[in-house]
Amino acid sequence: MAHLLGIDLGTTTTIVARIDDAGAPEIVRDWEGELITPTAVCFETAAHVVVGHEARTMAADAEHAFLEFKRDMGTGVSHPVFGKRVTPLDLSALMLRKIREHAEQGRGPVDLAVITIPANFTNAAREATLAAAHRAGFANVHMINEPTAAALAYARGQRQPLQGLYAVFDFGGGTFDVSIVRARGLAIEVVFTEGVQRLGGKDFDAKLTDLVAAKFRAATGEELCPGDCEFSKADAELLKHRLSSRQALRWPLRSAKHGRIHVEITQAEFTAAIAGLVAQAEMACEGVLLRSGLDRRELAGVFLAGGTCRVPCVQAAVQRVFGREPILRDPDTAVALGAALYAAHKADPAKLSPAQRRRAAEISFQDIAPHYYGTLSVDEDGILENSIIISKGEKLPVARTRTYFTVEADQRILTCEVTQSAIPENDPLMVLRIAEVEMALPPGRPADQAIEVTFAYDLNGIMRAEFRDLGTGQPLVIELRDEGLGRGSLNVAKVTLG
Amino acid sequence: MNSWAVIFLALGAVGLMGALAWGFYRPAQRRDSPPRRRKAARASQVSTAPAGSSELTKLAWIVGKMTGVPPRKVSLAEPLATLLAKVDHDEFMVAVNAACRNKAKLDDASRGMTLKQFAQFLRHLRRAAQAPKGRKRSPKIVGDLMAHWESSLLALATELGLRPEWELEKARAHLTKEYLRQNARIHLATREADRTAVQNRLELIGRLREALSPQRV
Repeated sequence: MAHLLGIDLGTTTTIVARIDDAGAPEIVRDWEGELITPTAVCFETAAHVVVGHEARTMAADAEHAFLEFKRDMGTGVSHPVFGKRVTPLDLSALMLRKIREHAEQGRGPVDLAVITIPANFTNAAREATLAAAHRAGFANVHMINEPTAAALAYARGQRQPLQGLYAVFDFGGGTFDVSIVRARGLAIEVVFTEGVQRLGGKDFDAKLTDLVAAKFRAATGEELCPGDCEFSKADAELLKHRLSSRQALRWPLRSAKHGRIHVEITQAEFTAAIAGLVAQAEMACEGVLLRSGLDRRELAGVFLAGGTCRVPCVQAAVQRVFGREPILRDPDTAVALGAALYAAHKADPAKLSPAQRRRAAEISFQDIAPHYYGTLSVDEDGILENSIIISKGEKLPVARTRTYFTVEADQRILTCEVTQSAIPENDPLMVLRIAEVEMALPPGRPADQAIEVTFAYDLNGIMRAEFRDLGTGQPLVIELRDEGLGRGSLNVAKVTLG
Repeated sequence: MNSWAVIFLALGAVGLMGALAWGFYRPAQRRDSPPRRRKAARASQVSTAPAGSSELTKLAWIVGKMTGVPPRKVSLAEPLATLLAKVDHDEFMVAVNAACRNKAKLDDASRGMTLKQFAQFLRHLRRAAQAPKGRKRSPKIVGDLMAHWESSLLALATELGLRPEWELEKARAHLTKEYLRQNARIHLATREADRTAVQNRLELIGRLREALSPQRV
């Protein structure tokens, strides 16, 4: 029987699910016996590290405690710890190592782990997450976008098999994603995805902290400063949870100077404070409908995932955008359960038990091109522009061919470039150049020699970009591979000159 | 000689002497005026475009006069920070507010605007300052809501090309497209400072979007 894990490595919390003997996903309790583990790492000494609940508790006082490091994955951020520099990749690796060691107790090595990532994670962040998983000792790792995983979990959990188009609204602690999927039972086809990299419950907490500080200032005439009066991140989170179910509450603050002060916060004030953040999520939702060319009336349902969806004005915003009441069921665990199901789908069937194999066979998955891919060309006015060949949202496998022409007489060099962008962008400065190879052309030819460019993206995450000189028949092939980093993170694997 | 001619010549001589005396007296009076008044006078001396000109023409005229460039050759694409590199910003704003009947200030957001965007921003400000006339009605166009906006939102609305006459639905759709475009740029930001800048911008667009909601009024 295969040991398969789905890990929702979130900004604030981490949840792990596994596929049980019968092929069903279940949440794994952590080393403290809890279902949800805080994503926190604390260095007590250079050699002794604690993660999870203990690290979260110590975070308020400890100097070398780290929270919310997922937001900095793939950036140049690092922190000094006992004479060393520690990166978010190191911290994620420590978190994942503890998860692996705990999961393997009594069940043997993990055969396959699927880690969820935000749909809008940058390539660097995806690569850093994969590197962290390998460093943590996971030999076989796959990644899946968080809303897609949530869609799988919802598809499995419904009494009636899903049929039609569904929106998955995933508002987590640090990131926000929205996807449209076409579901038929456990056959999931991703239609379009949009996301915001830094938008989540943590931002709500920060706004709430500002609100409390303003109330404190109004009551005492002084600023809320940690030396005098403590209002921690944990307090903000607790206040947010309580305001999600109550219209108003009086929150006690202990001030060294002014004694005990109660500040009254209403849900309406909280809603007004976070309105700009919720508006961002609304725009992302409108964007996913706009880019996919769908009307909201075509949707059969809207699923919510992520703890931030419990905030009433978020649910109201979803209803406003999609025009129907969203379905909220286990928003905290949906992503991890879906990741475990995806692990069953990706696992080697030979390693699965008969029950697991039967359940895994029910799952099918259709992915889409995760970005716009194109090449740089010169338009009629001689201005460099990005020319899109494969569009985001096209079903995989996909192959597209376009013909370009050389610009100058006796042109000896053709620069073959592959670009990637999250939106249909023509400006060459606003796209990522993921490959750039020069191809030599024969001398003495006039301008306007045809160059046929074919981009083919297959189901294994490999994209072939072929630049063929039709005059000589000579092709240059750039092979870009998605090395398990989740859809869309392509790296040049091979360049072949025919 | 005719006595009338003598009288006429005498009056002429007296008039000439009076004019000369006034000429000597006036500069002396100016030298005595306090420096604060002199500064304001200098700013108001910047000659403005002909009456009835657009805000853009007026601005180009003022920039041209203060930088020594003919108004027609003032760059419309460069940010104000570059155009006004060698100009006293306070003096510039005194001239602008006098010419465009505004009370605008030149903050960081405005310094990043081109002359064209700044002219549109001034129009927005003037419109926002006007009290709504007639009976209250539910807002239908962007201009109905602008009176409630702070200057940072007005500046962003100008920069993103939101027009006061646009219907709210059109403005929201336009803003969504701009938001998606800015959001895609986070992938290109390699430095933390760039990421923070993109982040701040996204947040500001979120606030603008919220400000476009009719329930805010």
